[in-house]
Amino acid sequence: MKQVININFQGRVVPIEVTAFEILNQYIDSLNRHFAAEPGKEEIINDIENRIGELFQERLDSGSNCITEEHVYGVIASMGRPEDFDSDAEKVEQVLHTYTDQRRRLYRDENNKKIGGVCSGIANYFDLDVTLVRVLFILFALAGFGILFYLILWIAVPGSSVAVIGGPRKRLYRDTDEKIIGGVCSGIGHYFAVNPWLPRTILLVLLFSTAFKWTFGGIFNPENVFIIGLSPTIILAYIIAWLSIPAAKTTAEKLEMKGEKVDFNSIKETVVAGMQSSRPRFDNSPETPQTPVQKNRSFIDILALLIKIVMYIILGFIGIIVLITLIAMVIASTQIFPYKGFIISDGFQNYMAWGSLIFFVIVPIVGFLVFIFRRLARIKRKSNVYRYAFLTMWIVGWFCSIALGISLQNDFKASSDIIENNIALENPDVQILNVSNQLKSPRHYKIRWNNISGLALLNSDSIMISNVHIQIAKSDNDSFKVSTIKMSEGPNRRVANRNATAIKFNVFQQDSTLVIDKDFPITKDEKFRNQMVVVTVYVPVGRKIKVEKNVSASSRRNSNLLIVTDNVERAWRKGTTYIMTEDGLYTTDGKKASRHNDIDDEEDYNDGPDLRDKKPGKRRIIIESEISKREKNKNIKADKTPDAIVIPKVKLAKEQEMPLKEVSWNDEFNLDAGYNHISMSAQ
Amino acid sequence: MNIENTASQMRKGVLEFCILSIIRKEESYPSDIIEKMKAANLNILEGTLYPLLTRLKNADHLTYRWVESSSGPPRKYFILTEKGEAFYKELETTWLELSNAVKALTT
Repeated sequence: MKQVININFQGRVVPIEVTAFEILNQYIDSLNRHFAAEPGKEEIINDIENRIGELFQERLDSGSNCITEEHVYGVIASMGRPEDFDSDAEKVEQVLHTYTDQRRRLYRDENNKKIGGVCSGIANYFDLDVTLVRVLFILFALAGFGILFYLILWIAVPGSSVAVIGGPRKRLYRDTDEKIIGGVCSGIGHYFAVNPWLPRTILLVLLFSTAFKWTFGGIFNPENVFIIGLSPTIILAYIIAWLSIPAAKTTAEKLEMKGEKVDFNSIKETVVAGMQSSRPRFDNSPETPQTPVQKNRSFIDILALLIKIVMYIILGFIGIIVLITLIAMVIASTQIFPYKGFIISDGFQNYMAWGSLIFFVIVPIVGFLVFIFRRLARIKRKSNVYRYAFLTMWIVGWFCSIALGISLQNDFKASSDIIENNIALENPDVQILNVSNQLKSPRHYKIRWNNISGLALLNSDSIMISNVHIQIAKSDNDSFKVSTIKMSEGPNRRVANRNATAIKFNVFQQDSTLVIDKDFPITKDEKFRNQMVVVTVYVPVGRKIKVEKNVSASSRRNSNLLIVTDNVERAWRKGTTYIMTEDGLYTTDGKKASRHNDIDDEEDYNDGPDLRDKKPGKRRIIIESEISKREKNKNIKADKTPDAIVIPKVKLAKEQEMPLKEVSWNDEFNLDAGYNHISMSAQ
Repeated sequence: MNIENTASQMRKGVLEFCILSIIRKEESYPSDIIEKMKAANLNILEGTLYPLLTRLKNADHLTYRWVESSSGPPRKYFILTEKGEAFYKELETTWLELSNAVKALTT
């Protein structure tokens, strides 16, 4: 059922279907355009309209009560379309295969092409068989330089359509109608007359090529792929191309981009084709006014399609991984949330932290989800607002994260002085000292979902840190001695000292048991700034010591912290009774204290040159390479010997003894964060 | 494609001559002319004919008069002018020369 309107056509009232009328209108418009430059155009058009009117009249007279689309099509077919009208201005026919007629010049044969027609052109020029030339080229390509050679020829040798003077010129434009990002690849595709997905694929492969280098080397770390792996050269090249290649705006430029003839006809066709994209076409005659479609789907198109699919899959995969990472980060931050106050100070850091979370983590997640949703629901992207908004927010998130990182790092910049407490133990007659933790620890209230060991809340204001280390050394007199050393870091020395002083760590003696705290609280004021407590127990010669297994303090050497004490025992086990001798700790059955602490390491670890051979007070210099070789074998971080100073890569033929300046405890040291070399002089 | 090219070139050459011949025999209106040409196996599109007729008219080779018709709009009936007659004579001469030459060469 169609709507019928009455029109006044050449002075007569003609009932005609609405759709038929539109077709008629277009036809007359096209006639108008065709004869625009013709003198007497009005008359011509009038005559033609007259004729149309006659034809309509015939149809109506023969029984139809209105003019239908078919009638209009029929009329147009009989009248002919403007393109078919012979006119005085003769068309310059495209002379194909001209190179066979003219004197021999090297052209690319674009009608016989597989990729660019280079081989066909060469074959024609040299009178060789096309396949032979192609095979030769493939051999060249495998040898290495063939591909480059082909590309150069492709660009430099003109296509066969340029053989005609005044024929179409091809120019490199960006195709903004068919763009994904900037239309660079589309434009390149048009210039080379290939499917635009081919240059896109090459671009993407080169873009991600550095990414794959990273992942093949090490663990597949999605953040690495996402951030570091995108080749900056390629991005730069694309941006340069985007800026320097002009976009094809006018119809003439668009035709030039595609290498078509720019004349009145083709412009008209392009414009009409653009306007009529949703309308039916009059195509009863063989020539249809369409912009020429690629006639032969070269095998490159199919290959490009396959590669496109593969790239989509890879990109989707990467996208999912990134998404999961971001979601994990969100979950992790909710976990840490109760402890947030202990790490992040209020004000700037707090804002940065929230900013990071929202803009850096959540925004990409939301962006991803929105993007996927729109793709699935096939919502056409109306504007680029979403894209730019999300991108901007994500960049803000980057700034926040980096600012947070720098700010936090600042807070750990300086280390405190060493705050030492010495406690002389009463009752020096004690033969054996048991070291243990408090049997009953105060009630700690734990957040239920956390299982991060070592972090438990005492109350809502403070957190317990069990960064406690314990050492055993030989006492230089007859009594047991305990020293607690508190250390911390901070943004400057003053704050660091304050943090260190604020550590509440208790050590007390109960008969022959030394009870040390398991952990110490820090409050939100001080925040977690690498606070650490080192307990050193000095055992006089001839006395025994046993560190209970329930002591949670770490007896392993902390790789960042090095307390150089003379005679510090390097290897002893909890739960074993040792006796201190001149030579160091020995077990009660006479074995030297060995290095098994709580590690699962079953092997006997030989310490190497026995450092206790020398008298205390002297130091030794040991070539680092020896130590590192040993350490490497055991996969333990380079453990520095306690009473020697390690000089890296000094080529010393043998061990030398060098007396070093005795330093006293109160001197100011320049302590670098992370590597605290503290030497204590032996008094 | 090449043959269509050449063929249409040949046709273009003789179109004017043929049309003028038809009109010379009797005054005709455009669709009539098309009919007659079709009868002689020389197809032409209306869109080609009308501009041609207009050009000839503008060059004063043709003139027309309107004739009312009972069925449909009024029609233009074309008729040769004197100038058109002279033009026709020249075309005829040219054609004869050409066709004789071709005949001589192709036999």
